[in-house]
Amino acid sequence: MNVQDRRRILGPASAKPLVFANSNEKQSLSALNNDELNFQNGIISNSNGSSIVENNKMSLLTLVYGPRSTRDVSFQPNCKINIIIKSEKFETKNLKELSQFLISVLQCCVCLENYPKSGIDIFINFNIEDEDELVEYIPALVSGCIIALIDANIEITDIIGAITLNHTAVCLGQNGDQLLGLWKDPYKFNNNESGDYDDSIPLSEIIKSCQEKIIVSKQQLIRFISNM
Amino acid sequence: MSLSVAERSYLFDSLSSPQALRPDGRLAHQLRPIEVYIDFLPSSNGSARIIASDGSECIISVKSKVVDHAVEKDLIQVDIDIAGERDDSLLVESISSLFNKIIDTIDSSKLQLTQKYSFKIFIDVLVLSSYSYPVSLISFGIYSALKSTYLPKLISSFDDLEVEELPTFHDYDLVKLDVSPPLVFVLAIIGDNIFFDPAFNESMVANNGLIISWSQGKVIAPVRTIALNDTYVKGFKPRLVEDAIELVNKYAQDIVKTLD
Amino acid sequence: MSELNFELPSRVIPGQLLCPLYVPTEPKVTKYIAGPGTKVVHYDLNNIDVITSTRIGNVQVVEKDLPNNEENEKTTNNDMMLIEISVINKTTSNDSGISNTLSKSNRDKLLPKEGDIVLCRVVRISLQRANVEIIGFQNEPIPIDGGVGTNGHGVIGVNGGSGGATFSMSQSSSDLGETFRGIIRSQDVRATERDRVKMIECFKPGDIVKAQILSLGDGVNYYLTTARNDLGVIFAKSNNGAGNLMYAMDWQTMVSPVTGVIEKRKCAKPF
Repeated sequence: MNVQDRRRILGPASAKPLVFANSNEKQSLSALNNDELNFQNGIISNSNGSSIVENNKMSLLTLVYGPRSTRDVSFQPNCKINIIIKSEKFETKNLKELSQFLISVLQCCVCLENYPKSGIDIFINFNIEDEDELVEYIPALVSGCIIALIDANIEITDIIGAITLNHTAVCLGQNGDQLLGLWKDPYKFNNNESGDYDDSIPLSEIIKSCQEKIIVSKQQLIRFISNM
Repeated sequence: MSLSVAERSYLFDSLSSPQALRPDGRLAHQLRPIEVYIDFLPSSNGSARIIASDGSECIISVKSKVVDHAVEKDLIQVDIDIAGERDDSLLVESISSLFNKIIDTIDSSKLQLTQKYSFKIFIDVLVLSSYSYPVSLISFGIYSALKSTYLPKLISSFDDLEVEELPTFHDYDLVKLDVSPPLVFVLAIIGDNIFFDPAFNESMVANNGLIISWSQGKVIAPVRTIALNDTYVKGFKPRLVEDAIELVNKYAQDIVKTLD
Repeated sequence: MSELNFELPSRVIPGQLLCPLYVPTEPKVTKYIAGPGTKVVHYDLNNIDVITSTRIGNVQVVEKDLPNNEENEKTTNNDMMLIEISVINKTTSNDSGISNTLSKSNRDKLLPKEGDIVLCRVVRISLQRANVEIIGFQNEPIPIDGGVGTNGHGVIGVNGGSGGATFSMSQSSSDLGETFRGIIRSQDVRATERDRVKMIECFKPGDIVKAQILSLGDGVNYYLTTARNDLGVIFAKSNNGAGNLMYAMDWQTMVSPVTGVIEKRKCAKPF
């Protein structure tokens, strides 16, 4: 043990071997548990606002452009919202239906009257590995839009909370007292992964339990926005 | 067609008050009168033409094809065209996505011909003119068209797994297609009131809209909220969903009876 | 009467409730008005109207004078205090003009509005009007795309010229047709002899013009005016853009220092 190695320049006697911290990748993977969403904002430099919402199953990039001028011939006192969702995994038709739903939801909270004659374009890029049903992504989609809109400095009156329960997505405003969006799809029985579906639960029960959970589920989003 | 600010404010006030009065004097659950003509296309298996009182009009044709149901999983397919809208517009694509989901809930075992072959049904919808959200109109049309659909009668044997043979049909005998297509209702929420089948002017001031599907005595998925305009859209009380579903359950049976 | 126990938060996020419209404070009733960054929202639960924040920022409270026409006020005005509540962005742009980095937080302005001074480029002229596209606001950074052009996200101060340094400009993508459009009508070109304006002697396509927004205009165009001494053409090239940059000699002539060509323009007062 005491034999000195003369061929190498040795460090000081008190030197300790280098220990690297766990690589980032590993850390972020272990930090993410199933439902926990991670948020980031202001990533894309040539868009007005942007956000990334991700967990270990998916990553969602939302870009907000505008308000920018529309080519409408008649005077529009309100701003128009347009959402385009891009994904390889789903049919365009279904994505368009979802974007129309998201537009309806966002119209409830964006101060449209502040931006006359203009349009806000929102582009959402889906990056997923395991294909789930579209309805399961609605909470992440709504959060992504909200963060990107705030990042773009567009005024909104509420931070919408969205929960998917029993294959029904419920978007709630005003701390759960207002229903902004409801989306329930026919259940595909061939999908065995999400076997917690119970058809007998009436819609009103689902909405009630979403109302109870909304404050807790919005916490993380609100905490992130407060630090933006 | 658009309404002035004053007109809209008048409409909103009268529709959101506790004693709501609809501009055409209908009750909250009353639909606008519709005219339905069935079987007017000689070359289709079934067809319907449906005209609403405001001049909205929609024609539907049902055609069929024999397919190997091991290969083709979707046995009913809906194609929607709306005059004046691009095929890839948000409205057309989302309505067609909605209807394909609704049609999926139909029990397709009725279309099975033999062990190997089934009918595949193509429903082509053309909305000639529409002044309000056309979903209800289309669904009533599809209902009438499917209810008046006759398919060729099979004369070969049902069991064709042992002996390879293509299904053969009777020369002129037809069998009525026995399915129960779901109906779709559009409800407008204005203030705390719910209205069936909102007309154009009611849609313009609606706080939100609900799309509710109904089949065989109960409300089924898909259920959706939808913005019917871009000025008055806001949230509503969650209990209104319950009320709306109750309303649909109460009156849908009567509507089916009328359509039949 | 117990005083309503609430405190205005200092830093808020969108959707955060600030205060109800009326607060029964001690000597006088306080009425709050929703200023910039806030909006009056009806809450179903308690059936009241409240002021809610619509952006991230700090709450600012300004006492307002009571309006003079008191006939339509139900409460006697002596018993009321008027306070405007608004939400200011985290770091508001300081008075020294424009900050060089277009950090997202200090952007306030997203759209041109009435009264704004804007820079625009002349696209087309006719006998009655000049069509322009808006490319920048005075004293305000513009959003990265914000309707005044996409791709370019660098803020480029205009060097020299009349007050040009206070403008921020995007390298706007006018060829994409994404800029806001404006019209300067012939009667809005100058304040005097308004009916004898010849557009061809005031603007040429390609000129950079400083103008003020009169109104939101129609669906496509904002209506702009240059009827002020400090408004008008700032930059112009001679010979329909083929020649050199010209300098203003007086309010209606410009000269090219290289070739000596003199052309007519409605110039902005340089200093």
